Amino acid sequence: MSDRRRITILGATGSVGQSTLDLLARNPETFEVVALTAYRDVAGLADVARRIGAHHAVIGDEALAGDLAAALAGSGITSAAGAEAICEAAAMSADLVMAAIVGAAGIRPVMTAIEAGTTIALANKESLVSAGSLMTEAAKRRGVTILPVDSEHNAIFQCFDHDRPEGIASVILTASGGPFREWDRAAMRDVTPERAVKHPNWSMGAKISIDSATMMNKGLELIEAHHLFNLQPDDFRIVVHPQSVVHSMVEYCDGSVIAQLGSPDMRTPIAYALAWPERMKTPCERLNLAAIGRLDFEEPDTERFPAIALARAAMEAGGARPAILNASNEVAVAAFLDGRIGFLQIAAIVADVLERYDPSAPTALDEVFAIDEQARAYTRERTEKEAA
Amino acid sequence: MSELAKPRQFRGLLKRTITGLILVSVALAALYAGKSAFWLLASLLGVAMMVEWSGLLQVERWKTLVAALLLGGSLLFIHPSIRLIDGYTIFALAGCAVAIALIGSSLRLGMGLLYIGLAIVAIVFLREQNGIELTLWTLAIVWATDIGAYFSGKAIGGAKLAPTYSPNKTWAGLIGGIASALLVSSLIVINSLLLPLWLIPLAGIFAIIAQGGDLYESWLKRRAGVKDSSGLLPGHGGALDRLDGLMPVSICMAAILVMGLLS
Repeated sequence: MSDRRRITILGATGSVGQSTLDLLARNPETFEVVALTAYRDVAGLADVARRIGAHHAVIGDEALAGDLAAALAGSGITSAAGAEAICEAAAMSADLVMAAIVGAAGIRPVMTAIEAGTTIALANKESLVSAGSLMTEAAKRRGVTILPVDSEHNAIFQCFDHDRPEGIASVILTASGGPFREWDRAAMRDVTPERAVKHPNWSMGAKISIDSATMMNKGLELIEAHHLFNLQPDDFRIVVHPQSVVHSMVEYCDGSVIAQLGSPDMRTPIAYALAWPERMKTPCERLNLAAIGRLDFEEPDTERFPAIALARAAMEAGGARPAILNASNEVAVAAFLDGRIGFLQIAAIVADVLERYDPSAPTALDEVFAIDEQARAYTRERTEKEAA
Repeated sequence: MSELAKPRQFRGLLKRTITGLILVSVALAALYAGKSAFWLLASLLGVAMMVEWSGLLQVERWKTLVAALLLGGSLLFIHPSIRLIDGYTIFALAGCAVAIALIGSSLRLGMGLLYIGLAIVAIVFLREQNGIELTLWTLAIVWATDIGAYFSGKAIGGAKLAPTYSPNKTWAGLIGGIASALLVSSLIVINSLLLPLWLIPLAGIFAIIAQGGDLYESWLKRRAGVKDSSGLLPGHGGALDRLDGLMPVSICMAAILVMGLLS
């Protein structure tokens, strides 16, 4: 028996997966890799599986089963393919499952890992936004700890007194404010997709850049925070902080505010989750506050950024609302990126769908997926009618 | 013999209209509220239809009671807070149907339980999974078919549709029902922000299915030698009389959605 920490990475070829593997490769005597999964990137998956010495590798696309087996031939690494095989990998005995699959495809594997009783490092936001209540109920029932990897929630997790939550007054998420922080709505109306994807502090994919520009990203994080940290909806606040140095804060009833700060490098929160409850060294750039000089904060403007208000309402109402918000937003953002709708119409369309589509609270993951699908279909109709 | 409309032919129309408006108001209120209210109304109507169905088959009272209890019991589990509308729900209903068919030694009683049960599951599924607009569209199509068929049948008359099964249904009624469903479907879909355009022609098919359901129930009544399935709804007969068209339509709509054809 090895006393190394046994890690499984779901979504090993994505950005969080790669950062995780980078940290694991630097500490081979501390970590052992049980299983790695990817959706379609056979070459990338086989390559990292060989280099890190994983025991098992799974490709999501069943048609690629043969390719993966061929790529791993002679390595002694077992392989499998398909969505079911990814869930089986998630259920394999491990000390930590890094859930880094992007999108709704990540939901069922996360639930499987929770049901298996494994500690989760959670980077898949849909699990909490769309299926938050089901996830947190299952985690509570199985006594599973969810370690958030997202920089804001990881910051809150680090500042949060988990043993004495009654002393906590509020949780304050910081938001960069996105590229249009100082723009008025008239200027935002004519924004092009090219302009909107440019983020001041982080380099990110197109979808999340648009979410940052509309501030829907922060709204979705608000919902995630509500599921991760059991406080009243009113106790979650957002403050705009353009430098993104303070990753988030927890305010206590005596007036103390505890914040977590750091350079914008995903490897810091990933390392926190990998080593928890201990700490591990990372090669991340050290924070130099003197060089930064000043930190600014301001109130978010829900008039200019209605996505925040939509997300807050969805968080307060609960049930199926957050899942609809997330699915509808994804379709609307895609329509904006394709040039079919304007920037301001993203939030307007999501608001229309939320107002008119009112299913019951999902009681099982299947219902979450059905609601997600239906919300997407309705949003596509809404978008077409808008564009026509 | 075709005649132009005379007041006599619209006898009972006032009572029918008033009751109709009340029924529509109750249905719309429950539809708007959704959740427990809609589930309760649908389930109660389901049990009422089961009792009426048993009546049309002229089975013994205890068989009626067992069938109603089995259906009502199954419908408890599709309450929106428990809701497990999936393959198991269908299996459970099928199990109850087989049970009552064996206990009551009546295949038609079992088929009735399955048919009514599926229809209630389907309409609750539509409301709670796919939302108010699509459910309203489905209800409106059936109502439009009924009303269109009633008036065009009365006003135009003409060749009988299926005299063996139902003496009063005419081809003119069928076509009027289809036209009316298409019209209402267009109005709703064009004014809705979410409903897809292909629902417009689907209304024509649903109008035929609704009339098929109507015809089937007429045949059941004819076999039993009664005019109405019960006197539950003044001027409209029983719950089966009023919902005979909605049942197959909601089952078809739910099946289309489950097969993922809307997305």
